[in-house]
Amino acid sequence: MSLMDLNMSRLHDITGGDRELNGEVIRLVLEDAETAIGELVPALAVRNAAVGGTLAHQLKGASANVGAERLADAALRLERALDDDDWTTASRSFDEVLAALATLRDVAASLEAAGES
Amino acid sequence: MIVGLVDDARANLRIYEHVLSRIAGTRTVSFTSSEDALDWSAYSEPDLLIVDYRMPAPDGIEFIQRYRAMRPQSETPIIMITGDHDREVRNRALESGATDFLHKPTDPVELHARARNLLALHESRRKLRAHAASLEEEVARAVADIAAREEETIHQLMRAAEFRDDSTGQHIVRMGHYAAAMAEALGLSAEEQRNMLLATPMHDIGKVAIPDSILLKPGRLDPQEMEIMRRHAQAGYDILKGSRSKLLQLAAEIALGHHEKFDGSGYPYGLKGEAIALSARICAISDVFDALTTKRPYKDAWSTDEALIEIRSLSGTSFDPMLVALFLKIRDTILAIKARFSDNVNGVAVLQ
Repeated sequence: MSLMDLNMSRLHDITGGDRELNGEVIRLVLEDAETAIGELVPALAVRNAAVGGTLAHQLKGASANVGAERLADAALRLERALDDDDWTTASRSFDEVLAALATLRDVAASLEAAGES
Repeated sequence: MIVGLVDDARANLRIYEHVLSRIAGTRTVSFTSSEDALDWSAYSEPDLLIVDYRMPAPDGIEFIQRYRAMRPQSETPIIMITGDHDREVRNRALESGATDFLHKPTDPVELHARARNLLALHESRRKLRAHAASLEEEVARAVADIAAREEETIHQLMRAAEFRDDSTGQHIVRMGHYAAAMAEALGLSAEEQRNMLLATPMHDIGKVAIPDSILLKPGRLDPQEMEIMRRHAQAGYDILKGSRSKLLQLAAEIALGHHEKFDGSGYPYGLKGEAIALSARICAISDVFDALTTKRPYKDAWSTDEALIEIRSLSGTSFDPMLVALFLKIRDTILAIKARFSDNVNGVAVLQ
């Protein structure tokens, strides 16, 4: 796990180091992200930049707040590409979002296994 | 204190709840849907709202606009949380009624401090408003208390005067109401109408200064006795004058002028026309009409029509023609008062 995947210092800042709360907020980010991805796929398929942009923004905000910086950065790139109507970059950024999300899921699982969350 | 949280990201809501749980006495209510939050706000007024900017419609700015429109009197502070540093977004939010901003990623220390300060400010304002309302209530109560005491004093004074006169308590009750009805028809203020209602019954208070041998004499008064009797107008004025109470000042004016006649043939000063106080001119008509329509030991009651014909015939001599016309115009009101306060009813109704 790298700092980029999950900034533990940031997470502890907002949860006060409460392990139970750490796990809860990461789980909520992951669940909301799954839902957002489910809505992003059809939005991107029909090139609906407005809906896609709102979903990317939501992903970015929630992940940045808990310290999931890689996911937040990828979501930010996606949001900007959609704002610019740059569908090539948007497609690449969406793949990065999926990859960051998969990594975050792994990180969350390993933290849980280690009793860190 | 209640804090409403509105953000479509559940993790953010959970973080805000956690941060705000450290402010004593605070309860949070969270919404992922801004529309649901508006529905809730229709029934609950939070002490603070924390609203995300970018959400599925309505977004943060529209939410604030709709909230402020729904509760125009509300002083609930609203913090908008935005990842945007765009000045235009901030200006629009301020114009819509946002109180403060926070940036994402949220700094928990900053969120805690801003929320705590705004809640404290809101609470202080609420207490100040409650204090002002309570003071206002206290003043209103004190004013009402003074008015009630003033009315009670007048009532007691009138009861004392009644013991020395052969007219019934209902006479002064009706007179007060006739005078108040005329004041209303003249377009005088509610306070002036009330004062006429209460002051007119005191018009003959000066009779307390007249010896019983004259005041209660069954037959006609000789010229000398009449002269003494006429002193009651000045005596009433002397009793009532000099008060700081507007009501008693009016009563003094009425006592002095209620036997003056419009053509200058009255007493004590032979004043003419509008040199006679309006209140006294009103009282004169009320007094004569009631005296005519009431049975006395020395005469039967006149019919209403006969009394009104008499009042009309005295227009321009005894009475102000304008007030006579007004009195005849409100004939129905006058008759209703006459019926309501007939001599079978106890006189205490004067102050009701």
